Amino acid sequence: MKNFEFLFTAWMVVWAVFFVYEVTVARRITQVREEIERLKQQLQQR
Amino acid sequence: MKARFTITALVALLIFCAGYAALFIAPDEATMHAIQRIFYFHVACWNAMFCAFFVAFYASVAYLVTGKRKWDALGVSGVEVGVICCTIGLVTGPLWARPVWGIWWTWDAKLTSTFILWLLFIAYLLLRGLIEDPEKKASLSAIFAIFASLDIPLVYLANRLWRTQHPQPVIAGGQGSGLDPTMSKVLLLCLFAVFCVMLLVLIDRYRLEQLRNECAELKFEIESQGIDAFDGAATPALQKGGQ
Amino acid sequence: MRRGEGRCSQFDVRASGGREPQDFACPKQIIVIANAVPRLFIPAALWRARDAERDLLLTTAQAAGIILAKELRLEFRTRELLTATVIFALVVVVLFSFAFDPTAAESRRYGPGLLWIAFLFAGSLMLNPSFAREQNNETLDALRMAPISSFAILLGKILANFIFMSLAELVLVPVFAVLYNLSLAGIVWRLILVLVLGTWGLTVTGTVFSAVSAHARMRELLLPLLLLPLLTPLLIAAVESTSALFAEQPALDRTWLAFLAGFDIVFLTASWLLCDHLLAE
Repeated sequence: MKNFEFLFTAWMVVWAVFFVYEVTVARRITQVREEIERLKQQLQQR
Repeated sequence: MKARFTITALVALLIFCAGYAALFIAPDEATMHAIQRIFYFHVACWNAMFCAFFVAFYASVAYLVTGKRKWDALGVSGVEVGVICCTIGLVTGPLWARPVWGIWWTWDAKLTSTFILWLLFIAYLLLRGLIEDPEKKASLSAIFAIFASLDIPLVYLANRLWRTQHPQPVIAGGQGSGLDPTMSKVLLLCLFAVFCVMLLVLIDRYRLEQLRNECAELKFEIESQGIDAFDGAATPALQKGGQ
Repeated sequence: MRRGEGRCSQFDVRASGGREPQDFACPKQIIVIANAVPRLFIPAALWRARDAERDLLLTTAQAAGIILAKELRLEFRTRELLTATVIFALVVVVLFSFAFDPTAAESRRYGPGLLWIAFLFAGSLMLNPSFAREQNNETLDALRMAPISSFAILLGKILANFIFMSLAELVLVPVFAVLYNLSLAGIVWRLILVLVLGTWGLTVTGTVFSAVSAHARMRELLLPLLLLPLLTPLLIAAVESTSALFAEQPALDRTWLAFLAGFDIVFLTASWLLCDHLLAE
C-alpha cells in the first residue's frame, strides 16, 4: 500500500486523541468525586 | 454503571466496524488509492465538530434565557469536545494533503476558516479560565460563544468570496461530484460512529462539569458555615436559636 | 437632559481617578455637539412632545447621548487615549515598511492590508479601557443603577469609541498615503464610506468584548485574543474593498461593501439582544 504510513498516523491520531481526552476526563471525574466525598465528611463532622 | 459499560462496549464495536469498513470494504479510490481512506474519518470529525459547536451554541442561548447552571455546563462541554474534534480534523487534514497535494498546508478558504474557528473556541476556553466569578464566567462566556457562532457563517462566506476571486490552489482532494454507493454507505457508518464517540465524550465532560459545580457549592457551604460558626462564637445564644 | 448633566459630571470625576472638574479644558464645542447628539436620534415631532411622555419614550436615545457626552468629555480632558492610539498605529505602519519594499506597486498590493491591520491592532488596544476604566473605580455599578437601559450605556460607549477611532483614522490615512506613495485624490468619499463601515463593525464588537474582558484577569492580553479572530471576516472585507479603491482604476466593490454592512448589522443586533446579560450585575 502506497502512503500507508500517512493513513496509519491519521488513523492513530483520531482514536488516540479521543482516547487520551476521555481518559483525562474520567480521571478528573474521579478526582472531583473524591473531593466531594471529603467535603461531605467535613460537613458531617461539624 | 452496567448500562454505561454496555454503551461503551457498543460504541467500541461500532468503531471497530466503521474502521473495518473504511479500510477494507470501501472501494479503492482511482487517483489517491489508500490515502483516500483518511476521508472517512476526516469528514466524520468535521461533522462531529459542527454538532458539538451547535450544542454549545444552543446551550449558551438556553443559559442566557433560563439562567440554569446545567446549560452552562453543557455549553463548555460542547466547546471543549468541539475543539478536540477540530484539532483531530486539523491534524488529519495535513496528513492527507501532504501525499496528495505535496504540501502540508495551503491557505485555501476551508482550511483558513477552520483554523480561525479553532482559534475562536480556544479563546473561549481561555476566557473561561481567566474569569474568577462563576456567574460572570457563565454569562460572559455564553455571550462570547453566541458571538463566535454568529461569526462562523461570516468567516466561511468571507473566505469563500475572497478565495474565488484569486486563482484556486491545486485541489484534487474534493470528493464533490458523485460518490460511489458503497463509499457513501461506509461514509454514513463512519459519520455515525464518530458522532457516537463525540456524544459519549460530551456526556462525560458534562458530568464532570456538573460534579465540579456540586463541589464548588459544597465548598461554599462549608465556608459560609465557617463564618456562621465564627459569628456564633461571638454570640452563642444566636447560634442555638439558629439551629 | 438637565438631570443627566448632573449625573454624568459625577461619573467624570470618579472615572478619571478623582480629578477635580476645574482642572481640565475641554473645548466647548465638543460638549455642545455631544449634548445635541440625542436629538439626531429623535424625530422632531416626538422631541416637541410633553416632557413626561418624552422621558418615558426616549430614554434610550437620550441616555446614550448622555453617556456619549460623558465619554467625550473624559477623553478630551487628557486626550491620552487618542494620542497613544495614533502613535501606536504609526509605529505599526513604520514597522511594516521593513516587511516589504515600499515601492508604489508593492504598496498598492500590501497597503490596504497593512492599513487595516494597523487599525485592528490599535483598536483592540484602544477599546480596552472603555470598560476597564469603569471597573477600576466601580463606576459601572453607578451607571447600572441609573434608570436607563443597558443598551443605552453600551450604545453611548460604542458611539464614543467610534468617534475616537474615526479621529485616529483621520490623522492616520493621510500620513499613510504620503508614506506609502498612494494617491487619495478622487477616492476620498468612497474611502470614507469603507472606513466608516469597517470602523463601526470594529467598535461594536470591540466595545462588547471590552465589557467581557473587563471582568477577566490579563484583560489587556485577552481582548485582542477574543477580538481579532472574530474580526477576520471584517478584515477581509475591509481590505478587499480598500484594495479596489487603491487599484489603478479605483472602483467601489459592492459585494464587499454589502458584506461589511451585513457584518455591522449582525453584530449590532446581537449586542442589542445580549446587552442586558453583558452588563448585568
